[in-house]
Amino acid sequence: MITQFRFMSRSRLFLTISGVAIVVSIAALLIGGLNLGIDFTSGTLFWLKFERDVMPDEIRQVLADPVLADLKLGKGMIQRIGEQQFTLRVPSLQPDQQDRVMDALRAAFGRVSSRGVDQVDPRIGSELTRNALVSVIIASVGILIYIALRFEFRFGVAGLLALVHDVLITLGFFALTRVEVNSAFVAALLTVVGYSINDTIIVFDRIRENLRVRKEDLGSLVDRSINETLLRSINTSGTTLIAVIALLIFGAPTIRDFTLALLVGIASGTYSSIFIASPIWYEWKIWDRKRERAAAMVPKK
Amino acid sequence: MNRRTVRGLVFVALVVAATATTVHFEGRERLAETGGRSPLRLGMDLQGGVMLVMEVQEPATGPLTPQVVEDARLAMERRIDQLGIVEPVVESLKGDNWRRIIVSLPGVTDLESALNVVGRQGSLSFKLNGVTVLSGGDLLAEANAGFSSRTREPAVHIVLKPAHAREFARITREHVGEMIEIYLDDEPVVGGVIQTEIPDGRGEISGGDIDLKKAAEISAILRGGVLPAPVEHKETRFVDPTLGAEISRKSLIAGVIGIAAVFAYMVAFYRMPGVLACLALSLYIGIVAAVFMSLGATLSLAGIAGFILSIGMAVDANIIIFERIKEELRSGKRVRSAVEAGFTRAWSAILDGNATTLIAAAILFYFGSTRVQGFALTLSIGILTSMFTAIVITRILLRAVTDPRTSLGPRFFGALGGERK
Repeated sequence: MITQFRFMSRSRLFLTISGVAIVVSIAALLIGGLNLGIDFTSGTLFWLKFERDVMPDEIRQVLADPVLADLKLGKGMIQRIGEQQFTLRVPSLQPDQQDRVMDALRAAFGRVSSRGVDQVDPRIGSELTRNALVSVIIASVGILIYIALRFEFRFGVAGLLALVHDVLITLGFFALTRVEVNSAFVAALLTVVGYSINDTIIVFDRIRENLRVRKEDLGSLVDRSINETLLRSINTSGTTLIAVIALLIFGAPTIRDFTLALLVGIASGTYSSIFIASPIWYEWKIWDRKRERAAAMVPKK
Repeated sequence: MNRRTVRGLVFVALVVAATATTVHFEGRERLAETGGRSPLRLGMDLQGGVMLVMEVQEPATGPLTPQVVEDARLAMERRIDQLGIVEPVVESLKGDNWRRIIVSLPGVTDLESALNVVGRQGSLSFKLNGVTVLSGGDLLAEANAGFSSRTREPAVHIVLKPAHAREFARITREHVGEMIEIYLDDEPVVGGVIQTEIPDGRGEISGGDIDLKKAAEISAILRGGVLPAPVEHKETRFVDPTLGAEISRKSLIAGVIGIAAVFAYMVAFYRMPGVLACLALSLYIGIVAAVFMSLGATLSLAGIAGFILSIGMAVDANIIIFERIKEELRSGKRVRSAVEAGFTRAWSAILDGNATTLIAAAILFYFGSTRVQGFALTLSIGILTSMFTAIVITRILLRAVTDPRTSLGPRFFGALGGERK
């Protein structure tokens, strides 16, 4: 590599940028929260196909029909997902109640076909949230232990912080954009966890190797390690993102939350492995060295 | 070519042959199973159908044990078998969710009917003047859907077991002119005044709202047997088969485009080694398909996504190795030794990187919902397979093309970006 970027001289800047991004993400999560789909909140989701162009307000009018008043449908969340196709989300309905809603829609719009109906019990949603949380925590601890054994504890913590960074940024992105999240989103988050740490480890592996070989200034050693692995980081993210973008554009709309989360998470994972994980490790190592030196200077009693 | 190269290429050829054979035969088997629709077992979201999650409740007679859940599962399975659905899956969940049974009914479009067949307790009782005289889950010797011999309307013919038939004969003999009704769970399905003694324990359930579909449902419930405990539905999902087909088609297109784009990227960037990586990647796709088919795993939408993602990640190992070889070349090594050094030195990074991703995938598999598990499984198979193809296969191929005794030799290493010394 001819160009050598000096990452460590700017490490505080990168850490600050990410710090701000994380604060914004947490704020968005606390204020607006995530737009949770029925997998989390429970309820019934219809996937409807009409024979003509229909406006969401027309569907709402049908829902407000006194005939359906006992079902307490509320306004319903209506989302256009294709030509003459909508998803309609309402509180939990039994199959016979679902039929009544379909009958009312057919009375108003003529032929309406139901292409899918999902109905989820409230308890499943809360279990999903709990399981998601538990699995992210256990995965993180497992990864931390693995890195601490294969590398050193400082690498483990730095990698973990980069990982938390990526998860928070992804969550923050979804809180800000209000894109609905379902159970596939949990899988995407876990993938981001795996990807982020994978990416970070390649850089750490090089630092570990360079530490063994040569004695040089720590800052330039870390810089060199990042530069040496830079093309790999870019190419791997490039190929993975190509695959994800193909899924996002050409794939099924039902897993858009999944692919979008991967897109954001992988982009963040690449960024954090270069600009976050190594600087954290570097700053910590420098700080430890200073402390050791200070401790050595204190005269022994 | 030296002996090691020849041995290596023979090995690659064997792997290719084994993969092709597996895909061919397993695929043919699945095609036969699914009636020619797909060489892979497809999940509900891809082929359409009904998916139910049922939770077994505390039985009236005692505590809820895993045996009760298993009995309920078997009864559900027997009932569904009566309906002639291709490849239904009825399985109980593990861990915290042991009370739950997940039922997948491919191609089924009637959610309410499915819920009825699976979820009704199915206990039959006879009431004389409103008082139960015969009841239980074990009354019948036979139950068949058909047509009433008197009215020609759809009906369920039932035959009581001999002991119960004798009891029933006694009751009908002693109570001619009185009212007898048959209840399915708490719902009266048929009733009438006893005209004469019924000696053979034969009867029929008909009339009311019983049509052909309903008759088939009731006979499936009665033949499958009573559930040992009440069940509640916790989750129902229905996907129209046309929607499933549309989603499969879209995912297939996305997969082909994604793979083609990754191939193009690799060849554009790494030239000859890139082509080798693509060959290894093609083999990777074949092996993953073979493993998937052999395990009899079900491919879901999340699984496809996991697979496409794993292709992006599968080239990672090759990228790490190629970048490393470039570095070794730059430091002045000759091609052959640069290739060897590249593989050796890239190993620790590849191992550690993939091990951590595997940790995440394993935990996903353990804690995830069924849909998430499909994704974790493809991801894990993908990671393990990609390490094999990227390291073992690509290495053999690279050795072969950089062999000084073949004409392919040194012309191609330039593509690695090194300056020839």
